[in-house]
Amino acid sequence: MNLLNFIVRRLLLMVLVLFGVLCIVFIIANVIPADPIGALLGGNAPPEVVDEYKKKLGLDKPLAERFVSYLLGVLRGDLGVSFRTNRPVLEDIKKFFPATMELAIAATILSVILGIWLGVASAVNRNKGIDHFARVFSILGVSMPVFWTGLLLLLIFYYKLDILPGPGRLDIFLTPPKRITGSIVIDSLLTGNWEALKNGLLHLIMPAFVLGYSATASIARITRASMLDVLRQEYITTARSKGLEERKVVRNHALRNALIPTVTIIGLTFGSLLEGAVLTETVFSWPGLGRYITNGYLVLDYPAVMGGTLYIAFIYSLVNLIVDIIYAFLDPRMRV
Amino acid sequence: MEDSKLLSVRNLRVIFRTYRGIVKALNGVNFEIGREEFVGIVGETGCGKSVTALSIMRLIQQPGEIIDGEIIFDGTDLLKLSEDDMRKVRGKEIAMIFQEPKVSLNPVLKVGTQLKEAVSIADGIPQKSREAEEKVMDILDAVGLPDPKGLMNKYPHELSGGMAQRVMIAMGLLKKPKLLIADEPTSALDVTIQAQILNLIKDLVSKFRTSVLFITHDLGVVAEYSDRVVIMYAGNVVEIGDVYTIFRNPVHPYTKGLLNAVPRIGQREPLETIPGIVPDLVHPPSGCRFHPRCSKAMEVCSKEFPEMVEVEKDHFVACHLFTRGEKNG
Ligand SMILES: Nc1ncnc2c1ncn2[C@@H]1O[C@H](COP(=O)(O)OP(=O)(O)OP(=O)(O)O)[C@@H](O)[C@H]1O
Ligand code: SF4
Ligand SMILES: [Mg+2]
Repeated sequence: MNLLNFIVRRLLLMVLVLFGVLCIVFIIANVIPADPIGALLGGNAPPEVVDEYKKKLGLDKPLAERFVSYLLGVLRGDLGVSFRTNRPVLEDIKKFFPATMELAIAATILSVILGIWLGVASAVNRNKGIDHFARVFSILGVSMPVFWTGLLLLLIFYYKLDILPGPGRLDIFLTPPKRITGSIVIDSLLTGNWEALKNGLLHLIMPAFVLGYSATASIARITRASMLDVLRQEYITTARSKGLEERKVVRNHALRNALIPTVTIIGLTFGSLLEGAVLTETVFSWPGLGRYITNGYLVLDYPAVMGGTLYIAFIYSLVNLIVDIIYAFLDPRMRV
Repeated sequence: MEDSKLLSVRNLRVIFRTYRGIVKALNGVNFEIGREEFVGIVGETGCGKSVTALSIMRLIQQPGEIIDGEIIFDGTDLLKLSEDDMRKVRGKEIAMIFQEPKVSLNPVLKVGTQLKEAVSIADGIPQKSREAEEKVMDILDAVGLPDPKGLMNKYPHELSGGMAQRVMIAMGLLKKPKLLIADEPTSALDVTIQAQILNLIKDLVSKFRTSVLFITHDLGVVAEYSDRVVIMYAGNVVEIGDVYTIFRNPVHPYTKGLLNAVPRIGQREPLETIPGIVPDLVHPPSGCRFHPRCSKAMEVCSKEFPEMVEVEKDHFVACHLFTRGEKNG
């Protein structure tokens, strides 16, 4: 298949998916029997104030009209104004998204390194200690809810042992680096603020681990299975029969072959990291988009919730599209 | 006389621990290979030919285990060597090639890289050196591959089966080993290519004075290329002799059956096959493992394991038809 053709088709599909997400988000936000004005003003506000607010927020118009004007706004890049912060939702997203991105990327890096290492180690030492450990670790990884793991780790490493910092992106008394990209790590690197860098990285460890835990588990399991399969292949026997050390057989001959299926799963897990970000950010008071959406929900701030969700769906589709294009490019059968 | 042999396999026992039970894959295998000798191993599928080959290289992997025996190679018992010393034997003294040349080469590494790695291990020179490169080019030339330079930059999937097997032969023989183990090296190739590859192996081993352990199903190939033949059945060697003896005067009932099963040109009557099936090696038959299928089976056959005896000079057989006389006498 032609690569360009493929990309165009995937782009059209992506638009369709995003439209679907928009519809669902809009319907859920507007049809559930909750009262955003009440949440905003409290139950005892006088009726005329309520009416005034309804008008101001555009809630007095019919549903269909509201949908069309929201859709047209989205197409222009206008996600509306947050009830709660009174700022354009897109501005808020720009402010909060870098923190989410930083967390998701840290989680990806951590889960890729840890997952591949664990998978390889348990395949090479099949049915030995590390393999049993990895099995238990993986089962917990896919079965423990994110908030539970998060709270547990906070309890152990912050509250009891006090070897890792608690919630937030930086210690409170520390001045954050000048905002350039919005990522603490990158900004403190750019400004040469080593103290903030170290502190920021320490703050990243636990949330990144928690967010990446289930991805780590999947990567470890896939890598183990494919490594075991590769180690049974004839070319591995050939490599051994040359008199190569087992360490080099694994590193130079088996690993590259074993990682091919792993790459697939890495693309898939990045998307799910964005979902997990909502809960992780809440547990770790991480000022990212996930927490922005959660906080929006608590006060029925629909524009924030809709805009934030749509934005995450957009990034998710974009990442998947990029991953698919990379496969199409790598898989020789796709090359015409 | 014993010491003049390049390889003596004695009482080799190998098992595989599987969920079904313990597979008694090799049940005391004995044979020898002389210097510059071409020995063929023949037997039905599953009789333990590949396991024997891998045991000599000490490359039996989990869940397999060599539980008993000696593998005396050039005067030392390989089973007693440390892993490091065994690696040196693999790197320099014994080479191995396999049935499916295309899957025997690593798909993600260039042909040249894989060959240079072998040179570097065998000769202790850096893999990236000019010297390694030249040695590889020489051997590629010797195995009759055109354009060695271009070939070194190719990936295995760009080669035909015959070319890939030539690369494997090059990889094995560049260390000028004392022993080449070839596990059905031509079964996966076209008939015309088969003959070329076999002749190439034959030429090169006589040039490098390498002994060969040649595993095959093809009795025709054995007849044409081997000096001696080892017949295996269900984890045992049942008959050994030079190629003329085995083909003209086979004495073990299994060998006779095997030879009768070979189609001859112009043959009209249906092939005679050995009745019965290959036994399950988790629960192998007692005594002589061939007894359930043997038309000559006697009472003793299911009770006692037949030891190998020399029926005439250099012609050995493991069958009670021949041990019985000895015992009585
Ligand atoms: N990894 C393994 N796990 C379990 N059993 C095995 C394993 N490898 C070999 N075996 C058993 O050992 C026995 C001998 O196998 P082997 O591969 O040596 O047969 P073979 O003579 O080479 O057959 P073929 O002609 O099909 O190559 C078989 O019964 C097989 O089931
Ligand atoms: S020992 Fe008995 S069963 Fe085995 S081959 Fe000889 S005669 Fe047949
Ligand atoms: Mg075999």
